[in-house]
Amino acid sequence: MRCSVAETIDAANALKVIDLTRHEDVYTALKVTLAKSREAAMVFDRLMAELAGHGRSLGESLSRGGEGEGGDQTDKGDSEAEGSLTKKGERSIKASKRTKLSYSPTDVISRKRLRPPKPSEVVEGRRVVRRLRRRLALMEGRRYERSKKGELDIWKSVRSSYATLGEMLKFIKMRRKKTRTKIVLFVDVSGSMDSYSDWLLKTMHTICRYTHNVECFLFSTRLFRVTELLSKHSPDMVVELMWRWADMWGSGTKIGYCLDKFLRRYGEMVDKNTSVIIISDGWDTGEPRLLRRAMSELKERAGRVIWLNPYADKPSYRPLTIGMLTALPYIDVFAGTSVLNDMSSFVKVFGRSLKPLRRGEKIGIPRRQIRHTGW
Amino acid sequence: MGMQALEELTIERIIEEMAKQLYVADREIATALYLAIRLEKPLLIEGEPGCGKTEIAKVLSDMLDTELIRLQCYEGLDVSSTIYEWNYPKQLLYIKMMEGKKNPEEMEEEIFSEKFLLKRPLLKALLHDGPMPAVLLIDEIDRADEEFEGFLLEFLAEFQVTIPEIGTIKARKKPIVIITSNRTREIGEGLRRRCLYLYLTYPPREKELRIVKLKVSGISDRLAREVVEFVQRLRKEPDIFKKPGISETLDWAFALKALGIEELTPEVVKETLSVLLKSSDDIRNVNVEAILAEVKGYGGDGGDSQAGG
Repeated sequence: MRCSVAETIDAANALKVIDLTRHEDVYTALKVTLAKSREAAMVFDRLMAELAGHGRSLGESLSRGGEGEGGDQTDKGDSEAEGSLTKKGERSIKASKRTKLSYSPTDVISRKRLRPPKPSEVVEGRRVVRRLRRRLALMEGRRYERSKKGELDIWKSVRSSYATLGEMLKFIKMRRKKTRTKIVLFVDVSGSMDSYSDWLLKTMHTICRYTHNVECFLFSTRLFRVTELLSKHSPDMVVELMWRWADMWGSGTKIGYCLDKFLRRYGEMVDKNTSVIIISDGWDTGEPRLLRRAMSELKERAGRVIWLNPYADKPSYRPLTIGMLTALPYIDVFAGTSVLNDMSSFVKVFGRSLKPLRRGEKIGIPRRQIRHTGW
Repeated sequence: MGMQALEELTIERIIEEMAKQLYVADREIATALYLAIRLEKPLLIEGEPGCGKTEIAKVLSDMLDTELIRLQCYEGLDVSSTIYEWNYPKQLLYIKMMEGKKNPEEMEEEIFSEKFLLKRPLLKALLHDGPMPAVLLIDEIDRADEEFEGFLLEFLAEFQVTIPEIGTIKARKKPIVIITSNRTREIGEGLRRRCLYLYLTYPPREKELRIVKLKVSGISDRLAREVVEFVQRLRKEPDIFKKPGISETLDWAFALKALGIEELTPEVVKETLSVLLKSSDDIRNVNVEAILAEVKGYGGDGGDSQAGG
């Protein structure tokens, strides 16, 4: 949650015009002026509940914050940042779990491994991501926009000829408006993906920071939206912030549950112009039925579903986990994660062409090969 | 009806006046509106579909007895459909009519005056001159392009537009701006920062019951309670994808009342469920009997829980 100076002034002005003796009005006044998104509003509610829980009045807490007391500040920064990541109900669970899980062994391992990406890695990653976007472009768009070249826009030309006695002096041209491809990225950060955590961080960071229209989610047994976190902070800061949620790194996986949750809460993000990229090894401890339903719905809504599996880079790889087998029929592009690393691996799967893939085109590991695995 | 001056506005007064317009506003909504008016800031309202986002603006304009100017956003919205356009046919006709009667300079001045201007919503809002400011509703901003959002940002900061032939027009009275969004696209940070923010979600049981009773006049107590309870439980069903909003609840209550139904039975619910749920998958996935059994169970001790709440 970040508040600009202008917003702080708004808040102060708001407090000037309301009755300060009414607690609920003060609360709402601060909320509508400072919390500017649903997520921020939820963080605000929780922060206020926390303040109330500490048994201090609002005024006291605020003045304490103003004195810049160390403990109080870090505490606040922590929970504020957390909010941008998390969502309702989950937050309270997490708040209670955070302390409990901070000494879990897997947690320690993940913490050690996370390091910010090197600049050279970032540069190569950017090239690949840019190419990927071109290949994933889904449609030209049905709408037209004004342009210098293109078809004649009869309607607009006639309309503008009104100004010249119905004499059409100006021909207005139009062309199809290019719709930007959207990407929704799901990254599996469960225990089985632990050894890839560095790579995952780098990839997420590259995709979110250097291209537009990307939403990024982490999932293990729960789902977290990290778009804002990734796009607004430097790599070091991201690592720093990721540490704080280390509890979700290295736990089990419930892919179906998380995707289902996504569809319910953020379903509007996915449309026919969206490519969904899932980075996971397909080890799912949840119910296959749920995963099947979520995948089929995702497939139905999204323009394209891409699954990148770190193990699929090995030529000997066979998708044998239940999760992978369940998801496979709904995947358009199935490949190893190395496609995002460097151009040569990318080209191996996506080809040299710069043209967008055809809708429904299946590429990656040949499906025939998969059927021979004895499944 | 209505209020004489904005100065006498208080939060209590807003709740009261909105109730007169059949809108059940809780204190949070009223406070947000109050601040939007007092601080002269646009109010951005997001929330689930069918929770009364657009309705707030309508009720507000009725309450203040002022004009509601609505700008429905869509992809490809441009200046000529949001701010102004010259009324060319009218200008031409005028020129033809006045040929020989007036000198050209005079005519030029006249045909580029307000009389020949087609005012689109944003300009209309600026030119509004009543004792009360106009209510400008910018509906479903998420459907407009990002470029339009950028333009709007500028408009909301200055409340003025420049028309080359006339000059700069400044707001006579700053309109009260309500912006709604369904979150099909994230609204830009800049716009968010300039607005006050309110998130509307499904109302709690008691509030929804009050809304149904207020809006659907003559509905029996029992039916209202059963309808609300059913919808509340339906929203909690994990298999329902498009959850019914308040507007669906009201439609359903109206439909049931029109059919002369006094209490919910599985047959009645199944026949009318399409009013509440708008996709065949959702309708198929609902276990009407189970939910209804729970509703009836709740209805039995309904009196107690009402008193308790």
